[in-house]
Amino acid sequence: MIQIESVQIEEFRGIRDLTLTMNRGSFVISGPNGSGKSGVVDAIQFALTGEIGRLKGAGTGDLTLAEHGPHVEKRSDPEAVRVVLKVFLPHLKKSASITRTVKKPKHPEITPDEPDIRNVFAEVAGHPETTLSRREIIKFILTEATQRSRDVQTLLKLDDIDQTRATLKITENKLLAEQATAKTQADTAEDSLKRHLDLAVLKPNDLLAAVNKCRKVLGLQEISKLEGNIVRSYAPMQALRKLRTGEANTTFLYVADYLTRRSAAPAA
Amino acid sequence: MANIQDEIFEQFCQQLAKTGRFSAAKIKQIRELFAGGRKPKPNDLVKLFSEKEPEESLP
Repeated sequence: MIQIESVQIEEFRGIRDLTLTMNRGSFVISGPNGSGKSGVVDAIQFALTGEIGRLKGAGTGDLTLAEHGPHVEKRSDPEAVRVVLKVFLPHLKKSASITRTVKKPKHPEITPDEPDIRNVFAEVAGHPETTLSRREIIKFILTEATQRSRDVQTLLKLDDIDQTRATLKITENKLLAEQATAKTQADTAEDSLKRHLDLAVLKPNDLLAAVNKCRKVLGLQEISKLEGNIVRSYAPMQALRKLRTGEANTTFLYVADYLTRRSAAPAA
Repeated sequence: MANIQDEIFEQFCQQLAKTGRFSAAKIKQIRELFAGGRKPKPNDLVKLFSEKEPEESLP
């Protein structure tokens, strides 16, 4: 927990130069429309997180901190845009200050620069939901019940989680489709192999025996185990070439007839 | 200090590891894909999950 002692705002949003003293208490900001009330909230959020929540998210289009953070008169001088937040850290019993400029929003100057104080500011910066704008609060109040969970995610800055979930779902569907296609191809290949080798079931030993039967017909040596690329042999290619060129002897003609009949036979 | 999204992602990775279906190397690849707030496309994830486990692809 942190308690705000004061905030000093220079050339930020619609504010040229303003210092507010909160003295570690709760505070209310009131004023007419356009007087910069939200600018104060933005400045506190910027000091704590390096971001302005209402420049991000749905409906913010091309709004950026660099272009829309500075006062309109200081857009070309982001270093002049500065917020200094003085706070008290009750659990450490220490006062500290954090200063950020729009030029280097992610590199705040922390005083005193001590590890325990840095850790507190790092934790707050990692939880931008600690600062909620009026727009965010009103949107949450007025939202319909069916949209509330989504709005809570937005309040907690969890929009990316929803997007990642959708991406993972698309990924799952694509992988399932690829799996189904691969299974169909595997089934087709298995059926084709069974038909050609005249096997009802593809058991390793039966498959090896059927392959060796074919190799014997083709004049090839028997093999003791099934491995990849075993059919890439010169002899069968020679045999097929002879079949095509009419040089085949009766053995080759028998093989051709056998293979033709197996190809034409219905699937087992 | 991690934010809520980082914490959820960490839990997501731990749950993937608990399923036993992904090696430590694959989980590392997933972390790298999402590192630095990157938002991978579905095809990036399809490629990652379609690849063999890194140690299996070694000769």
